[in-house]
Amino acid sequence: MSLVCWINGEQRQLDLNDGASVRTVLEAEGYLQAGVVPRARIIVARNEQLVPQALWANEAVSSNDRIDVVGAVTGG
Amino acid sequence: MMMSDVYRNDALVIAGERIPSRLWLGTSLYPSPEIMRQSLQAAWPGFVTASARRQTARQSQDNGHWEFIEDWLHKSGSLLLPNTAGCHSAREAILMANMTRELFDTSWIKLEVIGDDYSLQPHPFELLEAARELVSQGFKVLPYCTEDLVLCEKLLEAGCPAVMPWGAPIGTGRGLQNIQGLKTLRQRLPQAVMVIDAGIGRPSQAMQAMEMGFDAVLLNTAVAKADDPVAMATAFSSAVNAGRLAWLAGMMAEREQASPSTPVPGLPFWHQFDASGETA
Repeated sequence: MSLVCWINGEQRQLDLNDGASVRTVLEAEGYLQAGVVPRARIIVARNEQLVPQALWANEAVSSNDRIDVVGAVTGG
Repeated sequence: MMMSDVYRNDALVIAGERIPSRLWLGTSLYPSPEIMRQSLQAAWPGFVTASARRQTARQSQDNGHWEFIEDWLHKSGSLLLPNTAGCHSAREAILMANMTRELFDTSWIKLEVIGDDYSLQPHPFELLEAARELVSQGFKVLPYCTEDLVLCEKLLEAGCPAVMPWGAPIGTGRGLQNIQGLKTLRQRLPQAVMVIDAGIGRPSQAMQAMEMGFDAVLLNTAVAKADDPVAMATAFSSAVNAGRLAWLAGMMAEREQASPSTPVPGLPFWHQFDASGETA
């Protein structure tokens, strides 16, 4: 059981099945805790396509997918 | 109508929404989240800018600056203006804008597409392409652009509710570098909402922009990098208000020759003495 994907530009090898959901990947990476609503708002793109939060539980992550996890920062 | 009434009724409306102040403030580069919060309170800006970046799990859960910004937005009435800073193509900017809409739940976007990394000059062609697409997607696009008249016209034609020409390159604090070009822009597009964005370093420069008839100013570094950001935010607030009031009041025309402001008739000893004090 292994899923190799890119998270924020870094290659990661996760102990998950190929095709695990976006939510499962976020939990494995520490962004979310199972069953807990995240305190900080984040958004996710898979292969440069925005994945709405409502689809996190269903959207599958495949090998070599590029996942971006983006949050709010200061700006000018 | 009293001038004070004109000033009180002088609402800034963009895309049908009333913007509560003509000073807009960035949130980067402050010494601490608390100083940023106090600066926001001192400036009470119409828009507060923010952005979106990749974050680790720890960063996303320990984001002090953003928590202060969110708290300010909830209690102040300031609006959030996400940006696409760092994007170099229309494609990148469009994706970033869609990310910010999902992240911040707002359709406002400060559209930045950089064409030159040294000057951070906007890329006019990519900017226009991105603006057209984002307007079609329902965004309220406020593009950061140069003072180029034709570019500003095209951005407005594309559906941008305002344009934001630079005063000077971002972070330089050099003020209004092309005053004649900006004057021409204001004269040729008198109905357009125009905001001076970037390059403002001093309150006097913000006031100058407002005296020229620009509708608002957006700045960040000038406040954040002041020795006392909170005091500087207060100074900018006063300058923007004074400049706007001066524009509404209508300034006198410059004259080549001196003209006494005190009445001459009735002066005692009228022409009775020469310059040496002798009787003429």
